[in-house]
Amino acid sequence: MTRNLLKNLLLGLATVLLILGSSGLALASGGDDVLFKKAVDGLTVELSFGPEHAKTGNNPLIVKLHNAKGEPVSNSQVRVTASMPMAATRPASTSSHSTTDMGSKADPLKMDLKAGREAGEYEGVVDFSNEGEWLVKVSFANAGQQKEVDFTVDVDAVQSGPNWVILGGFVGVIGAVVVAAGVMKRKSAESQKSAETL
Amino acid sequence: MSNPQEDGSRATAPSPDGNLLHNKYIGGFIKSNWFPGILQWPTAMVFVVIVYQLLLGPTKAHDNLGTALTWVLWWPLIPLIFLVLGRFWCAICPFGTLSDLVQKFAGNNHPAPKFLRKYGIWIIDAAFIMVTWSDHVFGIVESPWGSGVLLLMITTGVVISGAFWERRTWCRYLCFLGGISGNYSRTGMLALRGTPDKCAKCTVAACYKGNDKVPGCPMFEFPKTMDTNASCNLCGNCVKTCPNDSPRLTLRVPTQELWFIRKPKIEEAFLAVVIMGIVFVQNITMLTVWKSILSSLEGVTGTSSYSVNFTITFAIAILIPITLLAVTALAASRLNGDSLRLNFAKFGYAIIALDVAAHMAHNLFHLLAEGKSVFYTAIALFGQEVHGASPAILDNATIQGLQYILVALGAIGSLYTAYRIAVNNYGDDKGRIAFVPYAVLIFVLAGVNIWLFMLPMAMRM
Repeated sequence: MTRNLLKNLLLGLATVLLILGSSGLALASGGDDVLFKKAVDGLTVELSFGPEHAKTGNNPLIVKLHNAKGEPVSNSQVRVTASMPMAATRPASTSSHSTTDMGSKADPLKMDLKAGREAGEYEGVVDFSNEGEWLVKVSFANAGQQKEVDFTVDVDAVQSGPNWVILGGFVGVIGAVVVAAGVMKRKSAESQKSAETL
Repeated sequence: MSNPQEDGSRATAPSPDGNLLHNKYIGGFIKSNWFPGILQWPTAMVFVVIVYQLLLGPTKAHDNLGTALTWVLWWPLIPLIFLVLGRFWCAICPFGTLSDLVQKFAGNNHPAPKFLRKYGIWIIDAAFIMVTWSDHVFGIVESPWGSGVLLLMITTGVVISGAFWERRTWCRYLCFLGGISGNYSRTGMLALRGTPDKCAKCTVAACYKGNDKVPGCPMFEFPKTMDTNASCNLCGNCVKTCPNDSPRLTLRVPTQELWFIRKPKIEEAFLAVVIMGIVFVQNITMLTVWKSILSSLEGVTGTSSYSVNFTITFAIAILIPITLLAVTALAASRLNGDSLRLNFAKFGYAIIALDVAAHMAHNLFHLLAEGKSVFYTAIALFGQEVHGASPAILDNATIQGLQYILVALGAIGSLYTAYRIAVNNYGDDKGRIAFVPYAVLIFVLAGVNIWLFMLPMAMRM
């Protein structure tokens, strides 16, 4: 009976781990990318930061270029400049006892994008230092002409608060280990006792 | 003639044989039932506050008491504790307390697996490298949540270990901090040993097995044959269980243990030199020029991925001292006749003194330049916000001066240790010659440290 109980416990533990693992995968897998889209001289420029809204810290940055026929525009040199007007800066914290500010609000971020996986796709990584409104300029050359499109992007603060799934996972695993060990200990004590009786 | 232990006036003075356990207060405290519990439980309570703060408190490191207590107060102080009290921290460490607790109620007390006993230090080496790498790539120190998750991962490991394996298997064979504390404690000023005459006649081995009131050594040590403090956490169990009053607690010159390593182990020497590399990484990535270095590296690698560029920096920084020690060992092997491997293993221990000093010097910046943040974040819990005040305890110039002094002291300790190892192994004349390459290495490592401390550094909070 105890053996069956132990088996059930181990099965339960495996199920918990499986559920946690799959929920983690579900959290990791994204849906459709959040897009910013604008047209300039018959060209469509799409800007996205992966499956999530732009947030403070490193974000994947993807630009897609299409012509009027919807065909991808490849082999273009795409440059992105991101800057934050000082007025748009939202203080992330009310206290300010640190003497340093690691953010570089005044310096615009500049980067040249590399060709992405698909035709007409260009990618890079942007590191937003602060939450608030950022002005993201995408510039590129097409048919010998320089084009530029401005996007206003609202950057959210990273939500690094408690993730209850992860916390619950740890609590579940720790609890399961303690229960399994307790059952094994009891079983071992019982078999020792019965051996002594015999 | 009165017994010194019964004579109150003499019992408080140092014992003639140097045994601190014969001091009325020290011996009495360690032998009492309150020890080490009276220190374990308050530490465990502070740990609970830290974990709560990290996981559920303010999301910015700047405002989080858990971050301040862990990375601004505890982490900088821990090498000093190892230097003064040896591995005593491990006796009161909340993870150790948790392991004991789980063991008491659900422990199966299986022997520690063979592979852990054989490869434990390599696992610790790998874990220490992984944790440091993860800190930089995932931002563990800068993120309260990240720090909290790290503590939860360790907690899970401790619970599994305590639930299935006997004694403190985690602390002895798996804890990455235990690996550092083992190495650093060799420089420590306290030594616990058995009295050979008494131990020779002993047949009960209560120090290892325990008795009906007190368990045996939690760290799998046998004081009768113990010749190192690397695994002794000064928990006092052997002091309480020994029927012959054999254990002796004595003061010694810092680094003394390193002069007489009987069986040098390559994995311990490797950890010593890896720690030097990790101190380099910690310093480099906190320098204000780090961003420029990173940009240059991005140009070379052709990717802006921080993980890739940091991993390259990390590998180089760790490989530099390993390569330097290997090259020095190769040069020294021509002079002393021992193999490269044996030279590496023997003289790697000499680096430990500089490790401790460089580690302390690096963290001295956090302790003294950000130390008041512990107070500010603590009073913030009670609604008292502090605005615009500096978290610094001392100014940067003074801290820099102290850092140079520490590195100089560490270099002296390492030089003297290398000298003693050389002379003890090869005799006076040959030893002096064998010492020269290691002296050059220690000067180079100390010089790099001093240079790194001369550059402006960024803060943690």
